[in-house]
Amino acid sequence: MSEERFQRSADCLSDLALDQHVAGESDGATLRHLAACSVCAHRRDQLLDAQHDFMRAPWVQASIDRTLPPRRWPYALAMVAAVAVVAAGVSRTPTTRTKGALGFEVVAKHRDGRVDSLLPGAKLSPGEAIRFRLKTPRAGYAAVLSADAAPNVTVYYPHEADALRIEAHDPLLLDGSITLDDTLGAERLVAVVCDAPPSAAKLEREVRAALDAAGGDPARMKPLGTDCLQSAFLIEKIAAP
Amino acid sequence: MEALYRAHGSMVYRRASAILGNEAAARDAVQEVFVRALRSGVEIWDDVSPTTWLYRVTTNYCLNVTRNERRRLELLDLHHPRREGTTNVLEDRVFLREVMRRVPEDLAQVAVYYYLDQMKQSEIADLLGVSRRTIGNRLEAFREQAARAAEGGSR
Repeated sequence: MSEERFQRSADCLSDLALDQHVAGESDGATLRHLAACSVCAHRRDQLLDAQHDFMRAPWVQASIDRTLPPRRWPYALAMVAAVAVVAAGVSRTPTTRTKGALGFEVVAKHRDGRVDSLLPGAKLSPGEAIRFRLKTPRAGYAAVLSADAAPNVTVYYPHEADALRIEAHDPLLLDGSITLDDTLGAERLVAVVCDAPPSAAKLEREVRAALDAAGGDPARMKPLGTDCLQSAFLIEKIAAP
Repeated sequence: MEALYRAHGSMVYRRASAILGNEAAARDAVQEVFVRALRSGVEIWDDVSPTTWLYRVTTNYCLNVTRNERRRLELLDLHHPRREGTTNVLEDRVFLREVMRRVPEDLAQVAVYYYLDQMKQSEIADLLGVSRRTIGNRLEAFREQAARAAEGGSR
């Protein structure tokens, strides 16, 4: 939606769909369209360029510095309650529509015992633990992978060959937690939900390809080339204070 | 925070600029939207994607800003040229913004998504949680109000 009106056909993707794609929230249909439509691919490239240029504008860093830090405690209490409800197997009634998007929530347990739901870009330290909660608009089989700054790719879920079934609109808190290792820097967590049980090895290759294409920088990775629903979440690992 | 800006900042800024038509106001909007994102905490990521949530908040925030300028615009109205036809003038962002300031918020929201974001009616319906027919009705109502504004009938 630049001031220059973008000329797209009726079949083209909207900026919302392309913004979701750039943010790592798109699905296979979007990827297929982008592969076949030069107009939308061009618009996607424009959005990616704008995203890159945006962070170089002097006023942006000043804006970041002025933005208040989150008020952690109320959210921590809300998150504890939410996790308890999900762990008990009780689905909360959705308050908003979920069509199309894979909900991917990352919950952290900090060194001081605090538990909170993270925002993208959250800073965590080695030794702290994270858990994942997924909510999908369509039933399928889930997987969660990680790409870090080492650069290494790790399959967090499913464990070994077990398929991880998830039902539509029913939040799933994945069993167990991940203790963060000593690799510092950006780490991209990628969740997918596929119609059939996905091959962990194939997903690992796709994440590896995306990480390589980004020059080994998880913060610059693009969405995977998969038909599965996907959602990404970026965290930053810093040395423990 | 930096990663949040990196992932979504240009999108919020682009949309705020288009709705507000003012670079300085758009910068303020970016900061305000992200402050709201942080304050909203866990709930915002619960049932919709971050991008969808940020679309809504940016739209609502910017429309509120434009409404606060209404009195000032009433003075500008005295000098606004008359326009012919509705379809073409809705391509004019300046005129579009002026009409959005005058109409009820539900109509202005739909106009932002349809004319500025160029979203399909079905996408707008999903984003707002209403039927496609409702979106069509609101767009028609918006066009009628735009036509009246273009003819000077609402001034």
